[in-house]
Amino acid sequence: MQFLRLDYKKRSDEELMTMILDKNELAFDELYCRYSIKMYSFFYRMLYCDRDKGEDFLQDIFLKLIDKLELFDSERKFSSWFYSIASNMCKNEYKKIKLRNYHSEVHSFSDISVNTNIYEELDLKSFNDELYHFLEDMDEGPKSAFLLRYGNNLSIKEIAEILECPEGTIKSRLFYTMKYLSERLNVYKPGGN
Amino acid sequence: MKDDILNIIPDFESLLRNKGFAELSSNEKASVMQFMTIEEYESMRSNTARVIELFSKEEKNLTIDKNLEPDLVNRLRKKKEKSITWILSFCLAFRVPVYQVAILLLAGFLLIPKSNLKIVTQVLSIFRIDTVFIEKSINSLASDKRGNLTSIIHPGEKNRISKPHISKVRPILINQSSPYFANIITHFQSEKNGHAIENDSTLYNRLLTLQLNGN
Repeated sequence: MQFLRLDYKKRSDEELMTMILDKNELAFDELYCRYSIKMYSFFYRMLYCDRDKGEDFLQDIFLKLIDKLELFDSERKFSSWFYSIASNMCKNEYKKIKLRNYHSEVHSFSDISVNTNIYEELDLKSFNDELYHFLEDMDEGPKSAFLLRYGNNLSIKEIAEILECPEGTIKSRLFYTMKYLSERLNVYKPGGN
Repeated sequence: MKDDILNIIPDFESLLRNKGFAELSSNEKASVMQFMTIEEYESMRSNTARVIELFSKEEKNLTIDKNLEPDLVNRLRKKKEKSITWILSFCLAFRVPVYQVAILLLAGFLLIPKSNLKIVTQVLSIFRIDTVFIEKSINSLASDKRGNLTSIIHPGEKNRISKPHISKVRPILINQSSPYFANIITHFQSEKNGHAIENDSTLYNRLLTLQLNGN
């Protein structure tokens, strides 16, 4: 069994998807391991650090994957396809939030334990809070680009494909986001000193 | 800071992530300095690094409900079972059991007399192989490029269509008062009756010779 799992680890996402089409549970397990945390962190950050909502969205996106397996275009890169579904789900959620005129409460990061000294931790916490306040004020498009680039470490080309924008637009969004963020976070000295 | 930094340095973001100001080439330094101070560049660089570090640490601390994956695998399993039992459920969806209908069809097939079967086979062969011509009245005829009709309809003969014969043979001008002409014709007639001549082209050749000789 362990040997089989190792074999699945060598497979590409697209190969795993082909196997899942044949209802291969081990292939699904491998794909879940690869993408569950990545997707959860994306939803969590996009949806105002709401863990429950993040988990609901994570479940929804994997249910969509199972129910609409046949819709996957094997010519396309799986990660781009999967992230574009995630991005559209967030886009719809933002529309709903806008309609409800809902303002969520930004969750604190006090539950994140980091093995540093108390001053560094306080500084990091302040930085985190300021970052998330900043993200809350951002529009869905630039926020998605920012999180996909720095949170999920995707290339600019891939982000452009996911968000259906030219690469220049993504570069511009990233530049201005980082510029404003930097101006806002300037009080927090680099390195936490 | 000017707004067109990305026109001058399109990969500014990668520069920011990978190189400190001191590591930039003199050209890169000059380009960056057009838009921001060294402090601004270093501030953006350090904040980018901190954001990446924060997100990375945060990801390690995120935990997902452990029941989520088994639920999803169950969903996949149900989908699999669903597809296997699809044909069976399709059959069961009918009130009349399928096997009864199948027996009825089989019995009916066996009861058909052999002669009828032959007819059925022949009809099928007509449908599959034979070409059936259907009589149809003609309303218009084809014409050549000059607009001249190339065919004629004969209404008295069930609208039979015929094509007028146009000879491709060059016409021959012959002096019919020539004694040679009369001789050729007489000779031709006798030869034809006696089966000595093969076809009309022999006559044509003789007449042509007559014309060339100037008679």
